[in-house]
Amino acid sequence: MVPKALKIVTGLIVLLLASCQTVEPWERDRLAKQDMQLTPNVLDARLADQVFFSKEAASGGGASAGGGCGCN
Amino acid sequence: MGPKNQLTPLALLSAAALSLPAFSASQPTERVVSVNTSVYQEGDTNAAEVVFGDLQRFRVKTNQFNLSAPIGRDWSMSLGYDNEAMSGASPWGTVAASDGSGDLIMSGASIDDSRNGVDVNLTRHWRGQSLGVSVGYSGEHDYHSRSVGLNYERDFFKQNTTLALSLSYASDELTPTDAQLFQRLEKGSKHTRSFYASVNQLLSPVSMLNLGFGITKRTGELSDPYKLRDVRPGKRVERTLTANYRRYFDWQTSSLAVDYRYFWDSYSVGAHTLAMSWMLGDEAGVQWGPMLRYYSQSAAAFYTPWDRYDQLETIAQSSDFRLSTFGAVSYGLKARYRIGAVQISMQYERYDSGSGYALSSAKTEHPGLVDFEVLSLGAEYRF
Repeated sequence: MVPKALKIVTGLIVLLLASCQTVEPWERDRLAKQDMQLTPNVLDARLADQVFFSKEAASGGGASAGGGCGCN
Repeated sequence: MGPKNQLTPLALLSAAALSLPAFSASQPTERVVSVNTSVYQEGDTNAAEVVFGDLQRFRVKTNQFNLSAPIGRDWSMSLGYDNEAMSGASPWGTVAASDGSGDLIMSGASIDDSRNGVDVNLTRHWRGQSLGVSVGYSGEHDYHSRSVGLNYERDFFKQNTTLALSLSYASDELTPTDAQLFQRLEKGSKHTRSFYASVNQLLSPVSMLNLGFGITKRTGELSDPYKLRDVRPGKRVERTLTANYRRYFDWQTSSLAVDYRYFWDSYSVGAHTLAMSWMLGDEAGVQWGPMLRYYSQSAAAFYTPWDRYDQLETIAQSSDFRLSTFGAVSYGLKARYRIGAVQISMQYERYDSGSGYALSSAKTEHPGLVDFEVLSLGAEYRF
Protein backbone atom coordinates (compact mmCIF):
# COMPACT_ATOMS: atom_id res chain seq x y z
CA MET A 1 0.00 0.00 0.00
CA VAL A 2 1.35 3.41 -0.94
CA PRO A 3 1.52 5.69 2.14
CA LYS A 4 -0.74 8.75 2.09
CA ALA A 5 2.23 11.13 2.45
CA LEU A 6 3.83 9.64 -0.66
CA LYS A 7 0.62 10.22 -2.65
CA ILE A 8 0.56 13.87 -1.57
CA VAL A 9 4.21 14.36 -2.55
CA THR A 10 3.60 12.66 -5.93
CA GLY A 11 0.66 15.01 -6.59
CA LEU A 12 2.78 18.06 -5.79
CA ILE A 13 5.57 16.82 -8.08
CA VAL A 14 3.13 16.40 -10.98
CA LEU A 15 1.89 19.96 -10.44
CA LEU A 16 5.44 21.32 -10.39
CA LEU A 17 6.47 19.43 -13.53
CA ALA A 18 3.35 20.70 -15.33
CA SER A 19 4.64 24.25 -14.86
CA CYS A 20 8.08 23.41 -16.30
CA GLN A 21 9.58 25.83 -18.86
CA THR A 22 12.87 25.92 -20.77
CA VAL A 23 15.46 28.00 -18.94
CA GLU A 24 18.03 29.67 -21.19
CA PRO A 25 21.66 29.81 -20.06
CA TRP A 26 21.59 33.57 -19.46
CA GLU A 27 18.59 33.16 -17.11
CA ARG A 28 20.44 31.01 -14.58
CA ASP A 29 22.13 33.54 -12.31
CA ARG A 30 19.63 32.96 -9.49
CA LEU A 31 19.73 29.16 -9.94
CA ALA A 32 23.52 29.32 -9.48
CA LYS A 33 23.27 30.87 -6.02
CA GLN A 34 24.64 28.88 -3.10
CA ASP A 35 21.31 28.17 -1.40
CA MET A 36 19.73 26.98 -4.65
CA GLN A 37 22.19 24.06 -4.82
CA LEU A 38 21.21 20.58 -3.64
CA THR A 39 24.12 20.72 -1.20
CA PRO A 40 24.78 24.38 -0.34
CA ASN A 41 27.52 23.47 2.15
CA VAL A 42 29.28 20.11 1.82
CA LEU A 43 30.56 20.09 5.43
CA ASP A 44 27.13 20.84 6.95
CA ALA A 45 25.65 18.05 4.81
CA ARG A 46 28.36 15.57 5.87
CA LEU A 47 27.82 16.42 9.55
CA ALA A 48 24.02 16.10 9.28
CA ASP A 49 24.33 12.73 7.46
CA GLN A 50 26.57 11.41 10.22
CA VAL A 51 24.34 12.66 13.05
CA PHE A 52 21.05 11.36 11.64
CA PHE A 53 22.60 8.08 10.45
CA SER A 54 23.69 7.37 14.03
CA LYS A 55 20.25 8.08 15.58
CA GLU A 56 17.65 6.93 13.05
CA ALA A 57 16.90 3.73 11.12
CA ALA A 58 16.52 5.53 7.79
CA SER A 59 19.50 6.75 5.80
CA GLY A 60 20.53 7.35 2.21
CA GLY A 61 18.82 9.35 -0.47
CA GLY A 62 22.07 10.65 -1.89
CA ALA A 63 25.04 9.52 -3.92
CA SER A 64 26.63 7.65 -1.00
CA ALA A 65 24.73 5.12 1.07
CA GLY A 66 25.83 6.34 4.48
CA GLY A 67 27.83 4.29 6.90
CA GLY A 68 31.53 4.07 7.33
CA CYS A 69 31.32 4.28 11.11
CA GLY A 70 30.48 2.04 14.03
CA CYS A 71 27.76 4.43 15.18
CA ASN A 72 24.83 2.42 13.80
CA MET B 1 39.80 36.25 -37.75
CA GLY B 2 37.14 35.81 -40.42
CA PRO B 3 33.48 36.65 -39.96
CA LYS B 4 32.59 32.96 -39.46
CA ASN B 5 34.80 32.76 -36.37
CA GLN B 6 33.60 35.94 -34.74
CA LEU B 7 31.55 35.41 -31.59
CA THR B 8 28.43 37.46 -31.14
CA PRO B 9 27.73 39.10 -27.76
CA LEU B 10 24.86 36.63 -27.28
CA ALA B 11 27.14 33.66 -27.90
CA LEU B 12 29.70 35.04 -25.44
CA LEU B 13 26.99 35.56 -22.82
CA SER B 14 25.64 32.08 -23.38
CA ALA B 15 29.10 30.55 -23.07
CA ALA B 16 29.67 32.40 -19.79
CA ALA B 17 26.24 31.47 -18.45
CA LEU B 18 26.70 27.80 -19.33
CA SER B 19 29.68 27.69 -17.02
CA LEU B 20 27.44 28.56 -14.04
CA PRO B 21 27.49 25.53 -11.73
CA ALA B 22 23.70 25.21 -11.65
CA PHE B 23 22.96 21.48 -11.52
CA SER B 24 25.01 20.24 -14.42
CA ALA B 25 27.97 18.04 -15.20
CA SER B 26 30.09 21.15 -15.84
CA GLN B 27 33.55 21.53 -14.39
CA PRO B 28 33.53 23.76 -11.26
CA THR B 29 35.06 27.17 -11.86
CA GLU B 30 36.41 27.97 -8.37
CA ARG B 31 38.70 26.44 -5.78
CA VAL B 32 36.92 26.18 -2.42
CA VAL B 33 38.56 25.47 0.92
CA SER B 34 36.22 25.01 3.88
CA VAL B 35 36.65 24.13 7.55
CA ASN B 36 34.07 23.44 10.22
CA THR B 37 34.11 22.70 13.94
CA SER B 38 31.05 21.49 15.84
CA VAL B 39 29.86 20.18 19.18
CA TYR B 40 27.08 17.59 19.42
CA GLN B 41 25.58 17.03 22.87
CA GLU B 42 22.87 14.53 23.81
CA GLY B 43 20.56 15.13 26.76
CA ASP B 44 21.02 12.86 29.80
CA THR B 45 18.92 9.74 30.23
CA ASN B 46 16.09 9.85 32.77
CA ALA B 47 17.46 8.23 35.98
CA ALA B 48 14.07 6.66 36.74
CA GLU B 49 14.33 4.57 33.58
CA VAL B 50 17.89 3.28 34.10
CA VAL B 51 18.59 0.15 36.16
CA PHE B 52 22.34 0.19 35.63
CA GLY B 53 25.08 2.40 34.22
CA ASP B 54 25.97 5.96 33.45
CA LEU B 55 23.25 8.53 32.71
CA GLN B 56 25.44 10.86 30.67
CA ARG B 57 24.89 10.27 26.95
CA PHE B 58 27.15 11.11 24.02
CA ARG B 59 29.12 14.25 23.35
CA VAL B 60 30.95 14.49 20.02
CA LYS B 61 33.41 17.16 18.94
CA THR B 62 33.95 17.22 15.18
CA ASN B 63 36.51 19.02 13.04
CA GLN B 64 36.08 18.93 9.26
CA PHE B 65 38.02 20.05 6.21
CA ASN B 66 37.16 20.06 2.53
CA LEU B 67 38.97 21.20 -0.61
CA SER B 68 37.43 21.16 -4.07
CA ALA B 69 39.13 22.49 -7.18
CA PRO B 70 39.21 22.36 -10.97
CA ILE B 71 42.32 20.75 -12.46
CA GLY B 72 43.30 21.90 -15.92
CA ARG B 73 40.49 22.23 -18.45
CA ASP B 74 38.74 18.88 -18.00
CA TRP B 75 39.24 17.61 -14.46
CA SER B 76 38.20 18.44 -10.92
CA MET B 77 38.91 16.95 -7.51
CA SER B 78 37.75 17.10 -3.92
CA LEU B 79 39.37 16.03 -0.69
CA GLY B 80 37.46 15.69 2.59
CA TYR B 81 38.66 14.97 6.10
CA ASP B 82 36.66 14.49 9.32
CA ASN B 83 37.92 14.01 12.87
CA GLU B 84 35.53 13.14 15.70
CA ALA B 85 36.15 12.72 19.43
CA MET B 86 33.32 10.93 21.21
CA SER B 87 32.64 10.35 24.91
CA GLY B 88 29.62 9.24 26.93
CA ALA B 89 27.48 6.20 27.68
CA SER B 90 25.17 4.28 25.35
CA PRO B 91 22.39 1.72 25.92
CA TRP B 92 23.52 -1.90 26.28
CA GLY B 93 20.10 -3.42 26.62
CA THR B 94 16.64 -3.20 28.13
CA VAL B 95 14.68 -5.08 30.77
CA ALA B 96 10.93 -5.21 31.30
CA ALA B 97 9.64 -2.47 33.61
CA SER B 98 6.66 -2.81 35.95
CA ASP B 99 4.52 -0.43 33.83
CA GLY B 100 4.83 -2.57 30.71
CA SER B 101 7.58 -0.54 29.08
CA GLY B 102 11.33 -1.17 29.22
CA ASP B 103 14.12 0.13 31.47
CA LEU B 104 17.64 0.73 30.25
CA ILE B 105 20.91 -0.96 30.99
CA MET B 106 23.55 1.61 30.07
CA SER B 107 27.27 1.13 29.56
CA GLY B 108 29.12 1.69 32.84
CA ALA B 109 32.11 3.94 32.51
CA SER B 110 32.20 6.55 29.78
CA ILE B 111 33.27 5.37 26.36
CA ASP B 112 36.06 7.44 24.83
CA ASP B 113 36.80 7.01 21.15
CA SER B 114 37.79 8.94 18.07
CA ARG B 115 37.14 8.58 14.36
CA ASN B 116 39.14 9.82 11.39
CA GLY B 117 37.66 9.76 7.92
CA VAL B 118 39.07 10.81 4.58
CA ASP B 119 37.60 10.71 1.09
CA VAL B 120 39.01 11.73 -2.28
CA ASN B 121 37.12 12.26 -5.52
CA LEU B 122 38.52 12.76 -9.01
CA THR B 123 36.18 13.72 -11.86
CA ARG B 124 36.71 13.97 -15.63
CA HIS B 125 34.44 16.45 -17.42
CA TRP B 126 33.45 16.32 -21.06
CA ARG B 127 30.99 18.55 -22.86
CA GLY B 128 27.68 17.82 -21.14
CA GLN B 129 28.83 14.87 -19.06
CA SER B 130 31.20 13.85 -16.30
CA LEU B 131 32.53 10.69 -14.70
CA GLY B 132 33.99 10.62 -11.21
CA VAL B 133 35.66 8.04 -9.02
CA SER B 134 35.95 8.30 -5.25
CA VAL B 135 37.71 6.37 -2.51
CA GLY B 136 37.24 6.72 1.22
CA TYR B 137 38.50 5.41 4.53
CA SER B 138 37.12 5.77 8.04
CA GLY B 139 38.82 4.39 11.12
CA GLU B 140 37.98 3.99 14.80
CA HIS B 141 39.88 1.74 17.20
CA ASP B 142 37.20 -0.97 16.81
CA TYR B 143 35.82 -0.17 13.35
CA HIS B 144 37.42 0.32 9.92
CA SER B 145 35.60 1.12 6.71
CA ARG B 146 36.92 1.33 3.16
CA SER B 147 34.76 2.53 0.29
CA VAL B 148 34.88 3.16 -3.42
CA GLY B 149 32.34 4.90 -5.67
CA LEU B 150 31.57 5.88 -9.26
CA ASN B 151 29.47 8.89 -10.27
CA TYR B 152 28.22 9.73 -13.75
CA GLU B 153 26.29 12.85 -14.79
CA ARG B 154 24.86 13.80 -18.16
CA ASP B 155 23.06 16.95 -19.25
CA PHE B 156 20.12 17.04 -21.66
CA PHE B 157 17.94 19.72 -23.23
CA LYS B 158 20.35 22.68 -23.04
CA GLN B 159 21.37 21.69 -19.50
CA ASN B 160 17.76 21.98 -18.30
CA THR B 161 17.80 18.31 -17.30
CA THR B 162 20.64 16.42 -15.64
CA LEU B 163 20.73 12.69 -15.05
CA ALA B 164 23.02 11.47 -12.25
CA LEU B 165 23.93 7.84 -11.55
CA SER B 166 26.15 6.53 -8.80
CA LEU B 167 27.41 3.19 -7.57
CA SER B 168 29.26 2.64 -4.31
CA TYR B 169 30.70 -0.22 -2.32
CA ALA B 170 31.94 -0.23 1.27
CA SER B 171 33.71 -2.98 3.19
CA ASP B 172 33.66 -2.58 6.98
CA GLU B 173 35.58 -4.52 9.62
CA LEU B 174 34.49 -4.71 13.28
CA THR B 175 36.78 -5.69 16.16
CA PRO B 176 34.73 -4.95 19.33
CA THR B 177 36.66 -4.06 22.48
CA ASP B 178 36.67 -6.35 25.54
CA ALA B 179 35.26 -9.11 23.33
CA GLN B 180 36.50 -11.97 25.53
CA LEU B 181 35.58 -10.25 28.81
CA PHE B 182 31.97 -9.69 27.76
CA GLN B 183 31.70 -12.67 25.37
CA ARG B 184 31.14 -10.38 22.40
CA LEU B 185 31.83 -11.09 18.78
CA GLU B 186 35.62 -10.88 18.34
CA LYS B 187 35.73 -10.00 14.69
CA GLY B 188 33.16 -9.41 11.97
CA SER B 189 32.65 -7.73 8.63
CA LYS B 190 29.87 -6.12 6.67
CA HIS B 191 29.48 -5.04 3.08
CA THR B 192 27.36 -2.26 1.63
CA ARG B 193 26.46 -1.98 -2.05
CA SER B 194 24.52 1.01 -3.23
CA PHE B 195 22.98 2.42 -6.41
CA TYR B 196 21.43 5.86 -6.73
CA ALA B 197 19.82 7.58 -9.70
CA SER B 198 18.40 11.08 -9.87
CA VAL B 199 17.02 13.51 -12.41
CA ASN B 200 17.39 17.23 -11.95
CA GLN B 201 14.94 19.45 -13.81
CA LEU B 202 15.02 23.23 -14.05
CA LEU B 203 11.41 24.39 -13.75
CA SER B 204 11.90 28.11 -14.29
CA PRO B 205 14.68 30.74 -13.88
CA VAL B 206 13.97 30.63 -10.13
CA SER B 207 13.05 27.03 -9.35
CA MET B 208 14.21 23.47 -9.82
CA LEU B 209 13.19 19.95 -8.82
CA ASN B 210 15.34 16.89 -8.20
CA LEU B 211 13.86 13.38 -8.01
CA GLY B 212 15.89 10.38 -6.91
CA PHE B 213 15.70 6.67 -6.26
CA GLY B 214 18.26 4.70 -4.28
CA ILE B 215 18.76 1.08 -3.31
CA THR B 216 21.27 -0.17 -0.77
CA LYS B 217 22.06 -3.75 0.19
CA ARG B 218 23.89 -4.43 3.45
CA THR B 219 25.17 -7.90 4.30
CA GLY B 220 27.30 -9.42 7.05
CA GLU B 221 27.44 -8.65 10.76
CA LEU B 222 24.54 -6.17 11.08
CA SER B 223 23.82 -6.90 14.78
CA ASP B 224 25.18 -4.44 17.34
CA PRO B 225 28.02 -6.34 19.11
CA TYR B 226 27.89 -4.03 22.15
CA LYS B 227 24.28 -4.86 23.00
CA LEU B 228 23.56 -7.67 25.47
CA ARG B 229 21.05 -9.37 23.16
CA ASP B 230 20.85 -8.12 19.58
CA VAL B 231 20.20 -10.53 16.71
CA ARG B 232 19.46 -8.95 13.33
CA PRO B 233 19.05 -10.57 9.92
CA GLY B 234 22.38 -10.68 8.09
CA LYS B 235 20.93 -9.00 5.01
CA ARG B 236 19.16 -5.67 4.79
CA VAL B 237 17.84 -4.07 1.61
CA GLU B 238 16.94 -0.39 1.84
CA ARG B 239 15.17 1.77 -0.73
CA THR B 240 14.65 5.51 -0.88
CA LEU B 241 12.58 7.89 -2.97
CA THR B 242 13.58 11.52 -2.73
CA ALA B 243 12.23 14.85 -3.95
CA ASN B 244 14.19 18.07 -3.50
CA TYR B 245 12.75 21.45 -4.46
CA ARG B 246 14.52 24.83 -4.59
CA ARG B 247 12.79 28.17 -5.11
CA TYR B 248 14.35 31.63 -5.24
CA PHE B 249 12.37 34.74 -4.28
CA ASP B 250 13.40 38.25 -5.26
CA TRP B 251 11.62 39.40 -2.11
CA GLN B 252 14.35 39.71 0.55
CA THR B 253 16.61 37.84 -1.94
CA SER B 254 15.60 34.62 -0.21
CA SER B 255 15.77 30.92 -1.10
CA LEU B 256 13.48 28.13 0.03
CA ALA B 257 14.70 24.52 0.16
CA VAL B 258 12.27 21.62 0.67
CA ASP B 259 13.63 18.06 0.86
CA TYR B 260 11.46 14.97 1.24
CA ARG B 261 12.59 11.34 1.55
CA TYR B 262 10.59 8.15 1.84
CA PHE B 263 12.58 5.16 3.11
CA TRP B 264 11.54 1.54 3.41
CA ASP B 265 13.57 -1.59 4.01
CA SER B 266 13.51 -5.36 4.42
CA TYR B 267 13.40 -4.95 8.23
CA SER B 268 9.87 -3.50 7.67
CA VAL B 269 10.95 -0.02 8.72
CA GLY B 270 9.12 2.75 6.87
CA ALA B 271 10.22 6.37 7.38
CA HIS B 272 9.30 9.84 6.18
CA THR B 273 11.69 12.79 6.37
CA LEU B 274 10.67 16.34 5.49
CA ALA B 275 13.23 19.13 5.85
CA MET B 276 12.77 22.79 5.03
CA SER B 277 15.07 25.78 5.26
CA TRP B 278 14.73 29.37 4.21
CA MET B 279 17.74 31.66 3.79
CA LEU B 280 17.27 35.41 3.60
CA GLY B 281 19.75 38.06 2.51
CA ASP B 282 22.29 38.66 -0.22
CA GLU B 283 25.19 36.22 -0.66
CA ALA B 284 27.57 39.17 -0.73
CA GLY B 285 26.73 40.15 2.85
CA VAL B 286 24.75 38.79 5.78
CA GLN B 287 22.40 35.84 5.37
CA TRP B 288 20.33 34.07 7.96
CA GLY B 289 17.37 31.76 8.14
CA PRO B 290 15.43 29.12 10.04
CA MET B 291 15.39 25.39 9.36
CA LEU B 292 12.85 22.76 10.33
CA ARG B 293 12.95 18.97 9.96
CA TYR B 294 10.34 16.33 10.70
CA TYR B 295 11.11 12.60 10.87
CA SER B 296 8.86 9.60 11.55
CA GLN B 297 9.61 5.88 11.40
CA SER B 298 7.77 2.66 12.11
CA ALA B 299 9.44 -0.15 14.08
CA ALA B 300 11.41 -3.04 12.60
CA ALA B 301 9.50 -6.32 12.44
CA PHE B 302 11.81 -7.91 15.05
CA TYR B 303 11.91 -4.95 17.46
CA THR B 304 11.11 -5.81 21.08
CA PRO B 305 10.64 -3.22 23.88
CA TRP B 306 12.93 -5.28 26.13
CA ASP B 307 15.48 -8.05 25.54
CA ARG B 308 13.92 -11.50 25.26
CA TYR B 309 16.20 -14.06 26.90
CA ASP B 310 13.44 -16.64 26.58
CA GLN B 311 13.94 -16.60 22.79
CA LEU B 312 16.57 -18.64 20.97
CA GLU B 313 19.62 -16.66 19.88
CA THR B 314 18.91 -17.65 16.29
CA ILE B 315 15.61 -15.73 16.27
CA ALA B 316 15.92 -12.08 15.25
CA GLN B 317 15.33 -9.51 17.99
CA SER B 318 16.56 -6.07 18.93
CA SER B 319 15.57 -3.54 21.59
CA ASP B 320 17.64 -0.80 19.92
CA PHE B 321 15.71 2.48 20.19
CA ARG B 322 16.72 3.25 16.58
CA LEU B 323 14.52 0.37 15.44
CA SER B 324 11.48 1.42 17.53
CA THR B 325 8.49 3.47 16.38
CA PHE B 326 9.28 7.13 16.99
CA GLY B 327 9.33 10.54 15.45
CA ALA B 328 11.45 13.65 15.84
CA VAL B 329 11.26 17.35 15.23
CA SER B 330 14.41 19.38 14.82
CA TYR B 331 14.67 23.09 14.35
CA GLY B 332 17.41 25.65 14.24
CA LEU B 333 18.95 28.77 12.80
CA LYS B 334 21.85 29.33 10.47
CA ALA B 335 23.69 32.54 9.67
CA ARG B 336 26.47 33.47 7.24
CA TYR B 337 28.59 36.53 6.68
CA ARG B 338 30.73 37.06 3.60
CA ILE B 339 33.75 39.35 3.58
CA GLY B 340 35.23 39.26 0.08
CA ALA B 341 36.28 35.70 -0.71
CA VAL B 342 35.77 34.47 2.87
CA GLN B 343 32.47 33.33 4.30
CA ILE B 344 31.91 32.70 8.02
CA SER B 345 28.97 30.53 9.02
CA MET B 346 27.26 29.50 12.24
CA GLN B 347 24.50 26.97 12.79
CA TYR B 348 22.49 25.77 15.78
CA GLU B 349 20.07 22.84 15.70
CA ARG B 350 17.97 21.16 18.39
CA TYR B 351 16.47 17.66 17.98
CA ASP B 352 13.55 16.39 20.09
CA SER B 353 12.39 12.80 19.67
CA GLY B 354 9.52 10.77 21.09
CA SER B 355 6.96 8.15 20.19
CA GLY B 356 4.27 10.88 20.20
CA TYR B 357 5.86 12.49 17.12
CA ALA B 358 5.47 9.32 15.03
CA LEU B 359 2.84 9.03 12.31
CA SER B 360 2.05 5.48 13.46
CA SER B 361 1.18 4.72 17.07
CA ALA B 362 3.63 3.03 19.42
CA LYS B 363 2.56 0.79 22.31
CA THR B 364 5.39 2.08 24.49
CA GLU B 365 8.08 4.72 24.13
CA HIS B 366 11.66 3.51 24.23
CA PRO B 367 13.50 5.12 27.19
CA GLY B 368 16.69 5.35 25.12
CA LEU B 369 15.34 7.91 22.64
CA VAL B 370 17.62 10.94 22.56
CA ASP B 371 17.27 14.68 22.35
CA PHE B 372 20.37 16.57 21.25
CA GLU B 373 21.81 19.92 20.23
CA VAL B 374 24.44 20.68 17.59
CA LEU B 375 26.36 23.93 17.38
CA SER B 376 28.78 24.46 14.51
CA LEU B 377 31.07 27.21 13.26
CA GLY B 378 32.60 27.20 9.80
CA ALA B 379 34.64 29.20 7.31
CA GLU B 380 34.96 28.99 3.54
CA TYR B 381 37.45 30.57 1.17
CA ARG B 382 36.84 30.77 -2.60
CA PHE B 383 39.61 31.65 -5.02
